[in-house]
Amino acid sequence: MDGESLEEIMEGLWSRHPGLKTIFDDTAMLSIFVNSRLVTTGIEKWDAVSLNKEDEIALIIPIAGG
Amino acid sequence: MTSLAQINRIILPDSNWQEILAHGKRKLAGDYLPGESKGKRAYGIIAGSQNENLLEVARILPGKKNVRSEEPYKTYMDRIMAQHAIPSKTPLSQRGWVIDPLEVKECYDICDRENLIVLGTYHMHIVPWEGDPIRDTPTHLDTVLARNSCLFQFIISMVDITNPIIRAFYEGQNEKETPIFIQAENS
Repeated sequence: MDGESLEEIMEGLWSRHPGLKTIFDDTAMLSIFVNSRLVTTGIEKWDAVSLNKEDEIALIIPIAGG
Repeated sequence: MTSLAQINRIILPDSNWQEILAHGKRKLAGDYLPGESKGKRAYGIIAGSQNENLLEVARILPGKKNVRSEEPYKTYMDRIMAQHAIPSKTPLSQRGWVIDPLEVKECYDICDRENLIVLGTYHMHIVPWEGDPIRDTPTHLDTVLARNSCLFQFIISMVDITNPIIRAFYEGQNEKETPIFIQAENS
Protein backbone atom coordinates (compact mmCIF):
# COMPACT_ATOMS: atom_id res chain seq x y z
CA MET A 1 0.00 0.00 0.00
CA ASP A 2 2.91 2.35 0.69
CA GLY A 3 3.55 4.67 -2.24
CA GLU A 4 0.07 4.14 -3.57
CA SER A 5 -2.52 6.87 -3.33
CA LEU A 6 -6.04 6.13 -2.20
CA GLU A 7 -7.19 7.13 -5.64
CA GLU A 8 -4.99 4.45 -7.21
CA ILE A 9 -6.28 1.90 -4.72
CA MET A 10 -9.84 2.81 -5.62
CA GLU A 11 -9.12 2.53 -9.33
CA GLY A 12 -7.80 -0.97 -8.65
CA LEU A 13 -10.97 -1.76 -6.71
CA TRP A 14 -13.20 -0.56 -9.54
CA SER A 15 -11.27 -2.67 -12.04
CA ARG A 16 -11.69 -5.79 -9.90
CA HIS A 17 -15.32 -5.09 -8.97
CA PRO A 18 -16.79 -2.96 -11.78
CA GLY A 19 -20.32 -3.40 -10.42
CA LEU A 20 -19.41 -1.23 -7.44
CA LYS A 21 -19.21 1.81 -9.62
CA THR A 22 -22.78 1.41 -10.81
CA ILE A 23 -24.31 1.05 -7.35
CA PHE A 24 -24.46 4.78 -7.05
CA ASP A 25 -23.84 7.04 -9.97
CA ASP A 26 -22.36 9.63 -7.65
CA THR A 27 -19.24 8.25 -6.03
CA ALA A 28 -18.96 11.40 -3.91
CA MET A 29 -21.20 9.59 -1.46
CA LEU A 30 -18.75 6.80 -0.71
CA SER A 31 -17.23 6.97 2.76
CA ILE A 32 -13.70 5.95 3.61
CA PHE A 33 -12.75 4.64 7.03
CA VAL A 34 -9.09 4.23 7.92
CA ASN A 35 -8.51 2.13 11.02
CA SER A 36 -12.23 2.37 11.85
CA ARG A 37 -12.23 6.16 11.74
CA LEU A 38 -14.26 8.05 9.15
CA VAL A 39 -11.69 10.21 7.40
CA THR A 40 -13.53 11.44 4.38
CA THR A 41 -16.68 11.25 2.34
CA GLY A 42 -16.37 12.02 -1.30
CA ILE A 43 -14.02 11.02 -4.08
CA GLU A 44 -12.71 14.54 -4.54
CA LYS A 45 -10.94 14.32 -1.19
CA TRP A 46 -9.35 10.91 -1.60
CA ASP A 47 -5.98 12.22 -2.70
CA ALA A 48 -5.74 14.05 0.64
CA VAL A 49 -5.72 10.78 2.56
CA SER A 50 -2.27 9.48 3.39
CA LEU A 51 -1.94 5.82 4.15
CA ASN A 52 0.55 3.62 5.92
CA LYS A 53 1.34 0.03 5.14
CA GLU A 54 -0.60 -1.43 8.08
CA ASP A 55 -3.69 0.77 7.72
CA GLU A 56 -7.01 -0.99 7.46
CA ILE A 57 -9.32 0.63 4.94
CA ALA A 58 -13.10 0.23 4.79
CA LEU A 59 -15.16 1.57 1.95
CA ILE A 60 -18.78 2.20 2.87
CA ILE A 61 -21.31 2.44 0.10
CA PRO A 62 -24.42 4.38 1.16
CA ILE A 63 -27.50 2.36 2.00
CA ALA A 64 -30.66 4.25 1.15
CA GLY A 65 -34.35 3.56 0.88
CA GLY A 66 -37.66 5.21 0.17
CA MET B 1 -21.36 -19.18 -2.26
CA THR B 2 -24.65 -18.78 -4.09
CA SER B 3 -25.51 -15.14 -4.68
CA LEU B 4 -28.45 -13.64 -2.82
CA ALA B 5 -30.25 -13.44 -6.15
CA GLN B 6 -30.62 -17.26 -6.08
CA ILE B 7 -32.24 -17.41 -2.63
CA ASN B 8 -35.62 -19.14 -2.60
CA ARG B 9 -36.56 -19.04 1.09
CA ILE B 10 -36.01 -16.73 4.06
CA ILE B 11 -36.42 -17.85 7.65
CA LEU B 12 -37.31 -15.03 10.03
CA PRO B 13 -37.33 -15.97 13.72
CA ASP B 14 -40.39 -14.55 15.42
CA SER B 15 -38.23 -12.67 17.94
CA ASN B 16 -36.57 -10.76 15.06
CA TRP B 17 -39.96 -10.05 13.51
CA GLN B 18 -41.12 -8.67 16.85
CA GLU B 19 -38.01 -6.43 16.96
CA ILE B 20 -38.89 -4.97 13.57
CA LEU B 21 -42.49 -4.41 14.66
CA ALA B 22 -41.41 -2.80 17.91
CA HIS B 23 -39.13 -0.45 15.99
CA GLY B 24 -41.95 0.57 13.66
CA LYS B 25 -44.55 0.96 16.38
CA ARG B 26 -42.20 2.99 18.55
CA LYS B 27 -41.49 5.42 15.72
CA LEU B 28 -45.19 5.66 14.90
CA ALA B 29 -45.88 6.49 18.55
CA GLY B 30 -43.26 9.27 18.46
CA ASP B 31 -41.19 7.58 21.14
CA TYR B 32 -37.65 8.38 20.03
CA LEU B 33 -34.30 7.26 21.38
CA PRO B 34 -31.68 9.91 22.27
CA GLY B 35 -30.12 11.20 19.06
CA GLU B 36 -32.56 9.31 16.87
CA SER B 37 -33.98 10.98 13.77
CA LYS B 38 -37.58 11.94 14.34
CA GLY B 39 -40.43 11.06 12.05
CA LYS B 40 -42.79 8.19 11.46
CA ARG B 41 -40.24 6.15 9.58
CA ALA B 42 -38.42 3.00 10.54
CA TYR B 43 -35.43 1.93 8.48
CA GLY B 44 -32.84 -0.66 9.31
CA ILE B 45 -30.54 -3.46 8.30
CA ILE B 46 -31.22 -7.17 8.48
CA ALA B 47 -28.29 -9.53 8.93
CA GLY B 48 -28.05 -13.27 9.07
CA SER B 49 -26.53 -16.26 7.40
CA GLN B 50 -26.83 -18.05 4.11
CA ASN B 51 -26.98 -21.78 3.56
CA GLU B 52 -27.14 -22.50 -0.16
CA ASN B 53 -30.52 -21.12 -1.26
CA LEU B 54 -31.76 -20.39 2.25
CA LEU B 55 -31.33 -17.23 4.27
CA GLU B 56 -31.76 -17.21 8.01
CA VAL B 57 -32.22 -13.87 9.75
CA ALA B 58 -30.22 -13.49 12.95
CA ARG B 59 -29.89 -9.78 13.67
CA ILE B 60 -32.03 -6.68 13.33
CA LEU B 61 -30.05 -3.44 13.31
CA PRO B 62 -32.44 -0.49 13.44
CA GLY B 63 -31.22 2.67 11.74
CA LYS B 64 -30.93 5.54 14.18
CA LYS B 65 -29.75 8.58 12.26
CA ASN B 66 -31.06 9.54 8.85
CA VAL B 67 -28.49 11.59 6.91
CA ARG B 68 -30.81 12.08 3.95
CA SER B 69 -30.88 15.86 4.55
CA GLU B 70 -27.09 16.18 4.83
CA GLU B 71 -24.73 16.70 1.93
CA PRO B 72 -23.62 14.98 -0.22
CA TYR B 73 -26.67 12.76 0.21
CA LYS B 74 -29.27 15.53 0.06
CA THR B 75 -28.46 16.56 -3.50
CA TYR B 76 -28.56 12.95 -4.67
CA MET B 77 -31.77 12.07 -2.84
CA ASP B 78 -33.55 15.28 -3.89
CA ARG B 79 -32.76 14.45 -7.51
CA ILE B 80 -33.91 10.83 -7.17
CA MET B 81 -37.09 11.96 -5.42
CA ALA B 82 -37.90 14.49 -8.12
CA GLN B 83 -37.37 11.91 -10.85
CA HIS B 84 -38.99 8.83 -9.35
CA ALA B 85 -41.17 9.49 -6.29
CA ILE B 86 -44.93 9.39 -6.54
CA PRO B 87 -46.38 12.37 -4.67
CA SER B 88 -47.84 11.36 -1.32
CA LYS B 89 -49.01 12.97 1.90
CA THR B 90 -45.39 13.14 3.02
CA PRO B 91 -43.39 15.93 1.32
CA LEU B 92 -40.54 14.73 -0.89
CA SER B 93 -38.02 16.57 1.27
CA GLN B 94 -39.02 14.39 4.20
CA ARG B 95 -39.04 11.11 2.31
CA GLY B 96 -36.16 8.69 1.98
CA TRP B 97 -33.63 7.40 4.42
CA VAL B 98 -29.87 7.23 4.11
CA ILE B 99 -28.23 5.34 6.95
CA ASP B 100 -25.40 7.21 8.65
CA PRO B 101 -22.16 5.67 7.26
CA LEU B 102 -20.91 5.32 10.85
CA GLU B 103 -23.88 3.07 11.58
CA VAL B 104 -23.27 1.09 8.41
CA LYS B 105 -19.65 0.57 9.43
CA GLU B 106 -20.76 -0.54 12.91
CA CYS B 107 -23.20 -2.93 11.32
CA TYR B 108 -20.50 -4.53 9.17
CA ASP B 109 -18.23 -4.74 12.22
CA ILE B 110 -20.96 -6.62 14.09
CA CYS B 111 -21.42 -8.94 11.13
CA ASP B 112 -17.68 -9.63 10.98
CA ARG B 113 -17.56 -10.41 14.71
CA GLU B 114 -20.62 -12.66 14.60
CA ASN B 115 -19.84 -14.28 11.26
CA LEU B 116 -22.97 -12.87 9.65
CA ILE B 117 -23.67 -11.16 6.37
CA VAL B 118 -25.91 -8.23 5.54
CA LEU B 119 -29.02 -9.67 3.93
CA GLY B 120 -30.90 -6.49 3.24
CA THR B 121 -32.72 -3.49 4.55
CA TYR B 122 -36.21 -2.95 5.89
CA HIS B 123 -38.52 0.00 5.93
CA MET B 124 -42.18 0.50 6.59
CA HIS B 125 -45.03 1.87 4.53
CA ILE B 126 -47.78 3.48 6.56
CA VAL B 127 -49.87 5.53 4.14
CA PRO B 128 -52.43 3.77 1.93
CA TRP B 129 -52.37 4.83 -1.70
CA GLU B 130 -55.23 4.87 -4.16
CA GLY B 131 -55.16 1.49 -5.86
CA ASP B 132 -52.59 0.23 -3.36
CA PRO B 133 -54.32 0.18 0.03
CA ILE B 134 -51.97 -2.28 1.72
CA ARG B 135 -48.63 -0.97 0.44
CA ASP B 136 -46.77 -4.24 0.98
CA THR B 137 -44.67 -4.07 -2.19
CA PRO B 138 -41.77 -1.83 -3.29
CA THR B 139 -42.64 1.46 -4.92
CA HIS B 140 -40.87 2.50 -8.11
CA LEU B 141 -38.71 4.73 -5.91
CA ASP B 142 -37.85 1.77 -3.68
CA THR B 143 -36.77 -0.20 -6.73
CA VAL B 144 -34.59 2.65 -7.98
CA LEU B 145 -32.86 3.01 -4.61
CA ALA B 146 -32.24 -0.74 -4.29
CA ARG B 147 -30.91 -1.16 -7.82
CA ASN B 148 -27.56 -3.01 -7.98
CA SER B 149 -27.46 -3.25 -4.19
CA CYS B 150 -27.21 -7.08 -4.24
CA LEU B 151 -29.44 -6.96 -1.15
CA PHE B 152 -32.99 -7.86 -0.26
CA GLN B 153 -35.46 -5.10 0.43
CA PHE B 154 -37.91 -6.04 3.16
CA ILE B 155 -41.14 -4.06 2.99
CA ILE B 156 -43.13 -3.75 6.20
CA SER B 157 -46.74 -2.78 5.62
CA MET B 158 -47.98 -0.96 8.71
CA VAL B 159 -50.97 0.67 7.05
CA ASP B 160 -53.08 -1.49 9.35
CA ILE B 161 -50.97 -1.58 12.48
CA THR B 162 -53.04 -4.48 13.79
CA ASN B 163 -52.22 -6.55 10.75
CA PRO B 164 -48.60 -5.87 9.76
CA ILE B 165 -47.11 -7.65 6.76
CA ILE B 166 -43.52 -8.31 5.79
CA ARG B 167 -42.41 -9.25 2.28
CA ALA B 168 -38.93 -9.54 0.74
CA PHE B 169 -37.87 -8.49 -2.75
CA TYR B 170 -34.39 -8.92 -4.17
CA GLU B 171 -33.07 -5.47 -5.06
CA GLY B 172 -36.57 -4.11 -4.53
CA GLN B 173 -37.90 -5.76 -7.68
CA ASN B 174 -41.55 -6.81 -7.49
CA GLU B 175 -40.91 -9.79 -9.78
CA LYS B 176 -38.14 -11.08 -7.51
CA GLU B 177 -40.08 -11.77 -4.32
CA THR B 178 -38.77 -14.48 -2.01
CA PRO B 179 -41.13 -16.09 0.52
CA ILE B 180 -40.52 -15.41 4.21
CA PHE B 181 -41.29 -18.02 6.83
CA ILE B 182 -41.73 -16.56 10.31
CA GLN B 183 -40.47 -19.19 12.68
CA ALA B 184 -41.58 -19.51 16.28
CA GLU B 185 -38.70 -19.90 18.71
CA ASN B 186 -37.71 -23.42 19.74
CA SER B 187 -39.43 -24.92 16.74
